[in-house]
Amino acid sequence: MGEKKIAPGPVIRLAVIEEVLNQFRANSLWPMTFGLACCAIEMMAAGASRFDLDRFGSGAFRASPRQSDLMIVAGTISRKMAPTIVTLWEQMPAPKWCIAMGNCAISGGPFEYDGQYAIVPGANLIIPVDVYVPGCPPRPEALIQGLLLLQDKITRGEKRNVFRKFQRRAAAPNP
Amino acid sequence: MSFESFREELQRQIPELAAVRVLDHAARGRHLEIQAAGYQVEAIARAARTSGFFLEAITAVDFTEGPQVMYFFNSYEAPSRVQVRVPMKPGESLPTINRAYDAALWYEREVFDLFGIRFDNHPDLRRLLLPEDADFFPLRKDFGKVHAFRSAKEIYDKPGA
Repeated sequence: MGEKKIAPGPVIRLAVIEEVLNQFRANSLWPMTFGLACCAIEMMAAGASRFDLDRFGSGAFRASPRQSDLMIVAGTISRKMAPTIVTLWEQMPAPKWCIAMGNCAISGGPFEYDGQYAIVPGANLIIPVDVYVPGCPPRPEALIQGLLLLQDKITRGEKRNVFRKFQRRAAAPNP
Repeated sequence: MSFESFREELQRQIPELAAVRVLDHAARGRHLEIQAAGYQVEAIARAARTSGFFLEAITAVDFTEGPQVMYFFNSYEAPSRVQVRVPMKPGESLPTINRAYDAALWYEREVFDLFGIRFDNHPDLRRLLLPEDADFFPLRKDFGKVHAFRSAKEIYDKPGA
């Protein structure tokens, strides 16, 4: 029957630090050097000088999953490759994100039909996916847009990304 | 090293081999067609090797009468494309031809992987393309949706075939 106690707030508020860290995380995403099929060619083009992912801080393709925090699933996932992809994903340190690039990684693409036995139709069936980039294969611009979308997801809105030097014309609204 | 030399070698080594046909390559894609039994496969492969042919492919087709394993031998001097057809009963196995051709082991493994045809004395008959724990043979006609299940007679014995 006593007075209802209000739980005190946390002694250290980590949300602010987390917010600051998210700025850094979003603007220096390190993808893993990892391609499965023809989409990887477009991913390499996006990383090369003409499209230049370095402009967005994502040009440092790491050769080890332990140094990267972004997995771009670029291509068809065959049944035999699926366990390896899960292992790679689990080897990446959190926080980590995943982009499913191309129709094969989204839903199996042209290889998904009744009675097929060779592929996993969709990266989301084996690992959690943050951004889907459709196309067969998507152009580098599409991958860049997917990457910016992922940055917006990490900073929770383009306007909150203090390091962003430009505003997209059709920016996604703040969540 | 045309198919004639291979034919002579075959006649020397396996005189009882009867079903040998010379075909029009432009129409049928092969110069010589041999129908053989499973126990003759090793001798044929040896004859092909001694007459200087290379192994082009081993594959199989599932017909209503049972599967047929196809061996293709070829040399760089045309006309020389040779097909060896081995009709089998379901569940039968074939001898491996790795004594004549080492690379045959890979093809035989692939045929086992996709058709479930076993090769005797194969040192490493495991799954090759499919996952290790697969329990199906996808190119058999009892797997999945089948659009055409024909008899070998229909394919090979029609006029002009």
